[in-house]
Amino acid sequence: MSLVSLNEAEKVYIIHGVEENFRCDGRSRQDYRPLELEMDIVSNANGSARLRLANSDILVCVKVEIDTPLPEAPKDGKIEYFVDCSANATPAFEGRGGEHLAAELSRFLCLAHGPVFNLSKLCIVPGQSCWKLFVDVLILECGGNLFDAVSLAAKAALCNTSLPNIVGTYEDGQNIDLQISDDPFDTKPLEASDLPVLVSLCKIGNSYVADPTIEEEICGAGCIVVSVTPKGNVTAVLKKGAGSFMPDTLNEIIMSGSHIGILLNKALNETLIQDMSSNVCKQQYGFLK
Amino acid sequence: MPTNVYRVQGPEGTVPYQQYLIERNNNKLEEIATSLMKDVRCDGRDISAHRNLCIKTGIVTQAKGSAYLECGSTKLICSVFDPKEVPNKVEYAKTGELQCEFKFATFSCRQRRTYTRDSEERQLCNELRRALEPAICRGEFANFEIHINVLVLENDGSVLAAAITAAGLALMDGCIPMYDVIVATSLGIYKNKILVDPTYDEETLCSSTIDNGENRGTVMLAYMKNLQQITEFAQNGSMDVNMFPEYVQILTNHNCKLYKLVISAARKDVIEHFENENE
Repeated sequence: MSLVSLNEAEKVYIIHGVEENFRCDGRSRQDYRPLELEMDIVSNANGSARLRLANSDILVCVKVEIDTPLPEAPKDGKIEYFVDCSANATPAFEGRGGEHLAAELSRFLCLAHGPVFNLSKLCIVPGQSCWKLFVDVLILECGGNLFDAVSLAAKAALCNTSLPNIVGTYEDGQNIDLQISDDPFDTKPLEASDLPVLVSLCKIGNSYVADPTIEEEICGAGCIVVSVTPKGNVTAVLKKGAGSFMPDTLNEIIMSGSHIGILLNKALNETLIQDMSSNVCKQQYGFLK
Repeated sequence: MPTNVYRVQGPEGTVPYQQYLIERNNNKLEEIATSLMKDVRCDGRDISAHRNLCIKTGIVTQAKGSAYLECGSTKLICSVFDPKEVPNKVEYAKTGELQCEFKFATFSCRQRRTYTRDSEERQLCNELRRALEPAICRGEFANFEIHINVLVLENDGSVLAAAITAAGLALMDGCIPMYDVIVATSLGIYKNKILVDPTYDEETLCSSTIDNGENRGTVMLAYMKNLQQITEFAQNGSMDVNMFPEYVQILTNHNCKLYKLVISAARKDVIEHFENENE
C-alpha cells in the first residue's frame, strides 16, 4: 500500500515498544492520534467533511439526487459509497493501483452502515421517487489506519448533510412533479448520529494496538476492523492481513474495539454538536494545511 | 457498465418479476420468523443443526485438486491449479501468493447475476483469500502463485463458509502443503435465536433492518482445529458485543465436528488412491 520499508532491527524496536505499552510516537496501546475535523467546506456538495488523522487526509462529500426506488423496496431511498484513492496519496495508488483497496473500503462502509442506516428516511413518494445519496470519499494523503479515518469522515459528512425541503408534489397521471424549495437554506438535516465508526486493532506480538501507523501495520500479524455504533453494538467485523487469531484473543480484541468505539463516537458527536452551535462566524482555515 | 460483446446478454432494462412480489416475500419471511420463535426451522432441522454435507474430491480432471460440496441446496465447485510463476513480477517474493476467484453462476441466485464481477463477489473473494492465506505453507512456493477458483452453482445460504471448506478440501486434494485442515461455519442470529448454517431465506431474515435493539445478523468463522487459530472472521448485522464469545464458542464447536467429517473424507480418498495403485 505504501512505500515504507522497515528492516529487522526497526521491526524489533516497534514490537518491543508495543510490548512495553510505549509506542514510537509516545502513545500507549489504546490511544488515538490527534484528529482534525473541518465541516461544510465544499460548497457544491450537500454535506462535506475533511478529516486529518496524523498524516491520513480524507475528504468526504455527500451529494443528493432524486431517483426512483427499487421495486422490491418502494419505501426506501438509496445510498452509494465511492472511494477514490488519489495517486497523490502514495505512488502505489497510481493507475489502477488503489482500485482494490477502494473497492474493499466502499464495500465495508456499505456493510457497516447498512444495518443501522434507515433508508426509509430518504423516501419522497413511495414507489415513485426517493433521495439517493452519493457518498464520495477522496483519500488525499495516506498515513495509516485508513479504515478508521474514512469512517469518521463519512459519518461527519453524513451528519453535515441536509436534504432540500419538498414544498409540494403534483400528480399528473403517471408522472409525479416535485416542487423543491428554491431557498438554499430551507433544508432539513439528515439524522445520522447513530451511524457506526470503524476501529482498527492491529495485533503486534502478543498484544494489539489501536490506530496503527503505517510502520505498525507492517509489523503487525493481522488487523481486525470493528464497526461500532454509539451504543457499543457491533455491526460488522473484518479481518485484514494474512495473520490468524486464537479465539480468546479475537474476543478480547472485539471487546476492546467496542469500548474504544464508544469513546470515539462520543468524541465525534461532541465535536459535531460544537461545530453546529458555533456555525455563525466560523473562521475558515486553509483547505489543506 | 461495460457490455461484453462476446456473450449474449439478456434484454436491457428488465427487472426480475420476483421483485414485485413484495407481499408474498414478506409473508414467507414472517412465516419463517414465527416458526423460529417456536424453535422450528423451515426445513425441519434443529435450531443448532448443520445441514447434511456431500463432499467429493477430484472431480475436475484438468485441475491439480478439486472438490465439490453440497450443503443442503448450496452447491459449489472449487478447483486449485498448480503453482505458477507470477507474471510480470520484478521483485522476489518470499511467500507465495494466492489468486482467488469467487463466482456465482448466472443462474445460481434468485435474481440472475451478471458475468462481470460485482462488489459482493469481490468481497467474498477477498474473504476467501484471507481465510486460506494463514493455512497454506506459503514459504514453500516462494515467488509463485496458486489459483483457487470457486464457482457457486446454487446459492441457498452460507455460501462463504461452504466455499472455504471446499477450498480446504481442494487444496488437500491438490497436495498443496498446509499447516492444518481448514473448515468454516456460519451462524444466523435473529431476535437472539442462534441458527447454525442458515439457509438463504434465513439469511435474508437475519440481515433485515428492523431497529429495535435486538441482536440480528450473520457471523462466519474459519478455523484450524489443531492449531486453534481463527483464520477469518466476518460479521454483519447489529449485535451486542458481549454475545461474541458465545458465538465464537458455538462456531468453533461446529467447526470441530466439520473437521472430523473432512478428515474422514480425506482419509477415504487416500485409501482409495493406494488401492487403485495396487491393482
